[in-house]
Amino acid sequence: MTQSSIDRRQFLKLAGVGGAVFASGLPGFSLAQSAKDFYFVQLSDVHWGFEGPPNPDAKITLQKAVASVNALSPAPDFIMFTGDLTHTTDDAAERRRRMAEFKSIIGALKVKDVRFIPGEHDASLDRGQAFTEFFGKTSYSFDYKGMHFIALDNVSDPAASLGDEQLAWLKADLARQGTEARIVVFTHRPLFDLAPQWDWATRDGAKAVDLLMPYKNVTVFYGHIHQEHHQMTGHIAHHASKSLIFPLPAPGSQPKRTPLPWNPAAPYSGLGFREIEVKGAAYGFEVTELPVVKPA
Amino acid sequence: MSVHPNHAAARRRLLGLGLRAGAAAALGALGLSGLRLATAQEEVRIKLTVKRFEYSQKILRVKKNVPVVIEITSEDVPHGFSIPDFHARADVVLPGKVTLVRFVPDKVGEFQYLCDIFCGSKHEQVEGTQIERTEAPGAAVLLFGARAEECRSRSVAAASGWHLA
Repeated sequence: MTQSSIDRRQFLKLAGVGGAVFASGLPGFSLAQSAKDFYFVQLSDVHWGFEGPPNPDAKITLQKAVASVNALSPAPDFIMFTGDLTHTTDDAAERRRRMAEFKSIIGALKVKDVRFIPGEHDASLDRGQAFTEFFGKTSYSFDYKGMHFIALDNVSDPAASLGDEQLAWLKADLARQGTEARIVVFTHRPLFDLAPQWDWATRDGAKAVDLLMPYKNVTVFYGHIHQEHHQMTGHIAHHASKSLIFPLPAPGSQPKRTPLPWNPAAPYSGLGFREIEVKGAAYGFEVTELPVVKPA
Repeated sequence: MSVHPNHAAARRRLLGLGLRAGAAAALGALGLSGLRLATAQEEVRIKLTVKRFEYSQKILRVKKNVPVVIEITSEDVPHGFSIPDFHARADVVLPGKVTLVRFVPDKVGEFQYLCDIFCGSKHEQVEGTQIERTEAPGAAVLLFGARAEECRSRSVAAASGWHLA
């Protein structure tokens, strides 16, 4: 099965962006056992608790994504959720109920090394209090197989700022790294002004980018915009992930940031998650976009 | 030599602006605060309130190149106010406190203002209001329209073009 899945993979190579190589549009799920050091999975913008026409299957989409991740062979080294685990609610008790349900559902993931950062739907109305209760710190760093990972929180401040305190922490964290260090940053919102008129920005994101600029090998993976998107700020590549609830239009492509309609003929189209493969000594990634459900 | 109408209008604009600048310089040389006075006279002040999930005015009308001061107050929780196209933004609009946002609308078109502080469950649900483009001869008017039902609002500006009277 593994080999046939590999054979059915269709890659679209988009090389030369920040040392990353992208692959997308594949029906298969399995990864080759060789020629890779490790890979992790990014899932984003689940919006558990959302109800509405943009996704009539909202109550089962996450479970299907969990099943798809569990079908990956070999299994990813770890899984990262880049925010908006839950859909916002003004009711603090309901927020916690949604987080508890989300946590219960993803408890079925076979891979137990699962990490999280909040989105504004999770954290902006209580400054991350409920999120912290369920998922721990909103910003942190860790090292894995020679890669330094930094998770930033640009949503607990409802004004979409990282804040001076977190920027100081980031500066101190980076100071322990050499300029040749291999660094991956996770955020929810883009760190650059992608579409400020749609609130697709971080007020002080440029300060974080400035702190990252001296480091030669930096890549940012983020969510928030519910679509695949790739952009450079200098030598730093920023890659937005699809969501697991509904796709949004291309940045600034229309007056209103309204969800793209659900297509009954192609359920879950525009949704998905991604594998991010880290290869060897050279700094680079192979990013593979995967659908929520495996095509028949 | 024939002159394209648009070019002629542009020359009139430049001439008008030049005359204004020259007059201001002359007043300054005389020790008069003519320029400051003129600016103060032309500055447009607009009072605006915001609450979840509603701005008090759907449309804000301003004139091109005339400085604007938005005096905005929240009636409930902290909100935002931002017009990205003019880089005009309030850090935060607090309840019971007047926040001033100054900008000069130096272009015409359709623009959006929005609440950029996540203020509640309907913060993102944009229900834009389409404003028909106005054609008001001799007028330079921008219209900022916002959907009253939502904190995050779509704004619309339209103008027939800038003409010196």
